[in-house]
Amino acid sequence: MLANLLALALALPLSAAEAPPDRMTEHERAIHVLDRLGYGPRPGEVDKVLAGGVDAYIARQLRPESIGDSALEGKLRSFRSLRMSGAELYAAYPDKKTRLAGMLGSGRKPQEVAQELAAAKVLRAVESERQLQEVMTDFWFNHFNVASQKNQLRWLVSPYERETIRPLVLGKFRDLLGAVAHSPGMLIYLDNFQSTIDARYAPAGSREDIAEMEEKMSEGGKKKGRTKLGLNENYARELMELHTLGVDGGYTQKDVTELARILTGWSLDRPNKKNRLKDFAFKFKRRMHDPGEKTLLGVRFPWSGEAEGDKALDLLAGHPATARFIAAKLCRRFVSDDPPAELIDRVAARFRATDGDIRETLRTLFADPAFFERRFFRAKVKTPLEFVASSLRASRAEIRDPLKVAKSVGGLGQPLYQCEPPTGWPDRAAPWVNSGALLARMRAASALFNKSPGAPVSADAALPLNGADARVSGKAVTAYVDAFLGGEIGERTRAGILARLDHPGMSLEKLAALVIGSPEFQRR
Amino acid sequence: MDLGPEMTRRRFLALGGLTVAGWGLVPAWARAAAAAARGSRKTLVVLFQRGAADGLNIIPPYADPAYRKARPTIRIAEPGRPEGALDLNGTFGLHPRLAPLLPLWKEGRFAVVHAAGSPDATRSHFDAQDCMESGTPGRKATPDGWLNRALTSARIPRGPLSAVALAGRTPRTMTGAYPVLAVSGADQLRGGGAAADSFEAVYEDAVDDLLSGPARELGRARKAVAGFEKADGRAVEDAGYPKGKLGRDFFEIARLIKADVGLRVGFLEAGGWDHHFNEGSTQGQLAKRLDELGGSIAAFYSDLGAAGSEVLLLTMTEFARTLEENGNGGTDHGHGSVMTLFGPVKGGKVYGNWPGLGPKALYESRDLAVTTDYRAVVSEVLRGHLGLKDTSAVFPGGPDAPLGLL
Repeated sequence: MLANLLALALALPLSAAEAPPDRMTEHERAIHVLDRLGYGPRPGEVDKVLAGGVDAYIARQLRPESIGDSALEGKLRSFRSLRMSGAELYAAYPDKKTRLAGMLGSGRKPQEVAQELAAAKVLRAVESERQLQEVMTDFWFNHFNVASQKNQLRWLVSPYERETIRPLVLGKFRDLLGAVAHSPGMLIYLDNFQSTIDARYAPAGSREDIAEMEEKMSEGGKKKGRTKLGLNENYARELMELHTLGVDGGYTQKDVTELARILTGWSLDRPNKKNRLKDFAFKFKRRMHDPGEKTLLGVRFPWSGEAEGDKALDLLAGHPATARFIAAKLCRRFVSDDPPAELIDRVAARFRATDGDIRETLRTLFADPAFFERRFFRAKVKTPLEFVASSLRASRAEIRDPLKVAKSVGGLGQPLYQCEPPTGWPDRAAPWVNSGALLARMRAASALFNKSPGAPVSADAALPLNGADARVSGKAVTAYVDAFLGGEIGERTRAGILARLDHPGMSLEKLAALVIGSPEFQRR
Repeated sequence: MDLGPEMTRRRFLALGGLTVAGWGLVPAWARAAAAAARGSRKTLVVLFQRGAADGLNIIPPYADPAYRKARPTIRIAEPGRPEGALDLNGTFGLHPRLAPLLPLWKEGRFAVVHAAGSPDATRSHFDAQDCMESGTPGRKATPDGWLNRALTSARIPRGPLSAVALAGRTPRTMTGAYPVLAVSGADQLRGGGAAADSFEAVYEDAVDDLLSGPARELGRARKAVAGFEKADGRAVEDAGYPKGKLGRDFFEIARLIKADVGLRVGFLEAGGWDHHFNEGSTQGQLAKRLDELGGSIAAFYSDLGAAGSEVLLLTMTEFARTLEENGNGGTDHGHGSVMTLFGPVKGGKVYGNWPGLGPKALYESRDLAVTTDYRAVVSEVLRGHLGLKDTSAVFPGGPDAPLGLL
């Protein structure tokens, strides 16, 4: 018995013997941080992280401003829409009416704005050295989701990511929340720009004002029927449910209505004047604002106009339920579908102690021993974006047509920037795992090593072999597992792949695709 | 008697073949199983309208003064007026853009349950969908969906195409232990050949609790559709389906049913019912959605022909809209909505207790109340159409008194 155990211990590789069975080995830790803080390892990158140290990699990724990214910036230069304002985008990508009117005959279509943004997203995920910044941009965009199909979001989606989300992804949560609340993108997506004082809730004295305003608006417009002013609760509800407190955060329907009243008048400059997108800037409209007193989550809000909204955002951002909700979501993204409650508590405590400092909260999460527990190694199933980006990184594929590659992510079930509900994409495995989706991933893996000149991506299956004998062999399998999976693959998966070696028609391309399509590669 | 899930359709047929040699050789349980297999062509199709569809404008209580007063710009006019409702029973009408469904109503193949919905009070889309799809109000930790549990309870043989969701991701309603195929259409399963075989073999050997199952199902589904004719874009329009995803999805379900590959449960979803802005009356966002919906369902039953008598379509939505229109020609999140049933139902009738729209009758003074729990409607369908004896595993503790729909 003892002899058996001893033999088993001796048979283990040295690095594994060093780590207790419930901890990751140093090698696994390196793969883990590349998988979690970024979009997966490129060939050779695991060794690079090991050489510099896992902790140093984390520290560096937490300071993206210190990392140069000129190669990526060069590749993004051709996407002009990424640098344009809403008004410029509207002019360059006119809507159908304007196009038909011939005013801008050669104009491009509005949906191309989101398509270019999606292409850039894939390129950044694959090429950026600032991997964590890209992961967090994805995380916060998804948290504060807007859908590019809706109305003016077709143009605003790009400025929304660039100006509202991206600069603050490692900043203070309250700043991010405030930026979103003031953004034309969110004000339109969740309708708050048109939410006004409502006779049902406003103080009795303001009823005449409302009637007068309705009268004026009706005469001005050609709409049939009378214009009716009123509250629109959409943003107020999602602000608490999805952006801050969480659905179990302890608010009521009454709180939703009160918050909507507080936010009346948070609107846009001349939102109804078509073709004037340059006017899309936040504007507080005093006349739309409900002048009565409100009570939100038990806190009184005497009338103070625009400042009420800021005070409400302070209250929500600082609420303990928010800390817990955000901490749980971060842990689901970085640790597992069902992260340990104690870990969430520790992360939430750090969030509160640092006044919602996202960078410091993440630092705490990545330093927590639970982050490197062995059971969390490859515990997350990749989303379609993560699968595509990691496969392009692993295979060092040449991206010839980024627009098509971005579209292929949609074909795998995740049409980028087109997630219609405000919840964003699911962050657990169950919705992504089914046979239809698996088939699509297997196809994508095969398409990666497509040699035809018209293919949108092309990876060279001979590359990972480093000039060694380019033949279908067990050696080639080892080379692919080293290059794509950092050398870590289940023994039975490896045996399954080896068993296919002598199948008719087997080629290096097909073999490489099998490793990209393997169960291990579907996880991070 | 128990009929294990491993009893496949093929085995039933084989057992049926034995009867030629004489019933005496076949054990009683196997005879019953074979009979069950022969009678098992009934299909249930569930359509989830995501975003909280406005029951009050889809099946408007056109005569109610409270309805007219609360919706000055978006109400549907009385029957006989220009663009008025299509009368159903003197009290309720059909939104005029659902005109293609009127023949089904007259033939008694279209029933309505009004003031139906979820017992959950939430007005959050996500939470309400989660609750309705899990089927366990008040218990969020439920890992699976009601329709998946129903598949198990109904002891439907686990064929590769027994349960299909036309979706890129497995919907919550369909999540669970019973294998479900989520695809955009049968054509997605074609091709691949030897490469796909290799992938499946690798997954067969691999140790991955989460991924090996779906890979196995995939292999079986690919074989099952191999014999289908390929659908091209033209076929959809030839069959009279409207353009767009919903028409395409109904077309795909009809194909599977007509190909007789063992489809018993289909799931579809349609988004875009959350009209906070410009919901409109007979023009606007809702009208556009209803054009697509009415056209798709009418084409579906016309496409199915005689097979449609065994296909029950059930629609549901997570909650509904406020009685009053808001300041933007739209409506905010409400409560009670409408469920519709098509096919082998006692149609031509509006079911449920109408609570009225008076100030005291409204839920939280603002919304149509829910007087029929959606679980009662679903339970009756599961018992009557899918043959469940007991729905307590599908909706633990849920109401199951029949409304007389089937």
